[in-house]
Amino acid sequence: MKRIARLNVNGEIHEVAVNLQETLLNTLRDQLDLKGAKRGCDSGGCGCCTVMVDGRARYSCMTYALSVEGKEIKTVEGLNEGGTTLSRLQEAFVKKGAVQCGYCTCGIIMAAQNLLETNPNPTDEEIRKGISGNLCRCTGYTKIVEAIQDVATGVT
Amino acid sequence: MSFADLSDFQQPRDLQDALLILDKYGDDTLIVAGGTFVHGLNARGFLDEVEVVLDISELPLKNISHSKGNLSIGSTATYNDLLNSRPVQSMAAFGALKDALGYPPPQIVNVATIGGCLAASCPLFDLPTAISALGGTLTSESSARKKTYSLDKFFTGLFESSLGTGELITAIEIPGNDKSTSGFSKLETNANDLAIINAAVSLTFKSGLLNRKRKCITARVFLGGGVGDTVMRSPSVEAILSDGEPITDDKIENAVAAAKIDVTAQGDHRASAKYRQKMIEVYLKKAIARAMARLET
Repeated sequence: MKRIARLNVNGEIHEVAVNLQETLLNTLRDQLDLKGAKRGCDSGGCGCCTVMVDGRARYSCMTYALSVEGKEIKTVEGLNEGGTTLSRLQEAFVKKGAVQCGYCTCGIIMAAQNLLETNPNPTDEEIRKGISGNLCRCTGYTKIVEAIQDVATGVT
Repeated sequence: MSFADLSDFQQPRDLQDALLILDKYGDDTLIVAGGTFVHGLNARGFLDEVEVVLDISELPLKNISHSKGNLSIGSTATYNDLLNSRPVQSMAAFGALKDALGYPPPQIVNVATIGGCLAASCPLFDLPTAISALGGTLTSESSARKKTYSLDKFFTGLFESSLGTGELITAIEIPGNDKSTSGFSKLETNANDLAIINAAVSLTFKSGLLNRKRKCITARVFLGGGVGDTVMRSPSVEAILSDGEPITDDKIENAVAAAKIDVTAQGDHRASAKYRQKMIEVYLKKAIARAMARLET
């Protein structure tokens, strides 16, 4: 059974016919063609589906699309301006070499965005806590933490 | 999350509407607030009969208030809201709650709710252990009546609770005072992990926390993780800690060694019984240390 959901994604309103049990992850990827959020574990353990809803990071694989009508949903595609310029975080990840396979990257950037919006001057430990809900199998996290530090301290 | 086709999805803004929906669909309803364990329930086969999702995250059940030392928490208040509340941040009595809420990552803390956590009745979670040590109670409502449960009697088995069909947890009450301190500690393999072992301790002192002699007259000690179908209380540890004398290092050693009288750890694919049994002592000691450290600030 489907229902029309009115979703505000990256500032744009979309009216989408969703299955009642459809997750926000599925709607973003399969209906709105926003492939930034990734399907990793699809069970709330890996973090690569992380998006922001009303300014708070959450797992889109564990969010029903119908639960977030009327809320402000932000995906990684909504971070850069006009779709061409990279955001400071995205720029820092590239410059620092904090991306290898890229699968965790979008989710970790959203977690980092949430962190910096709530705590613009995080300590090293606070950064690591801020991305503790995101797994990365490639980088060992060092460059990721440095990239976030660069943004926090204004280097990038 | 993507289980078989639902026949309805409701997100009411009024509690009475929610209760009517529960009455209509009964046990075919999945009640969701943060939804952070829906995958876990689904993987264990609990959602095979679900027809309807009742999303209660928009109900006015998010209030957190503090009166006469006692904390009153709406069942859909998020971990984040609770963690940032003044009583949880500042009162030693609620230390175990602050410790427990500090473990999950942001994506969980931002949406998970105490009501959902307790309703799932899973000893591998953290809040059941912490709130049991604090002597919490919870209130449920159905269209017929309101009920109050002491946590000591609420958890009846693995994923089983005293909640009946049509009941919705609406509030949790946690007593607090200025003569108590508490602490919680957890063994996990990563930030999203269920507890291999967790421990929570609440200690009450005869003349309050500032008195240097600090004679401990009441202790509540609970263990969770792979220790049984529900969280387990350890009266043997409680008796040693609350003998009416100050808490010394020797007393702590004796106390944690006594946990094995009351709690026999389980072995499974996540950890052996022998390892868990040893970790009970280690993490109980850490929980006590956290509680005691709060007295120094």
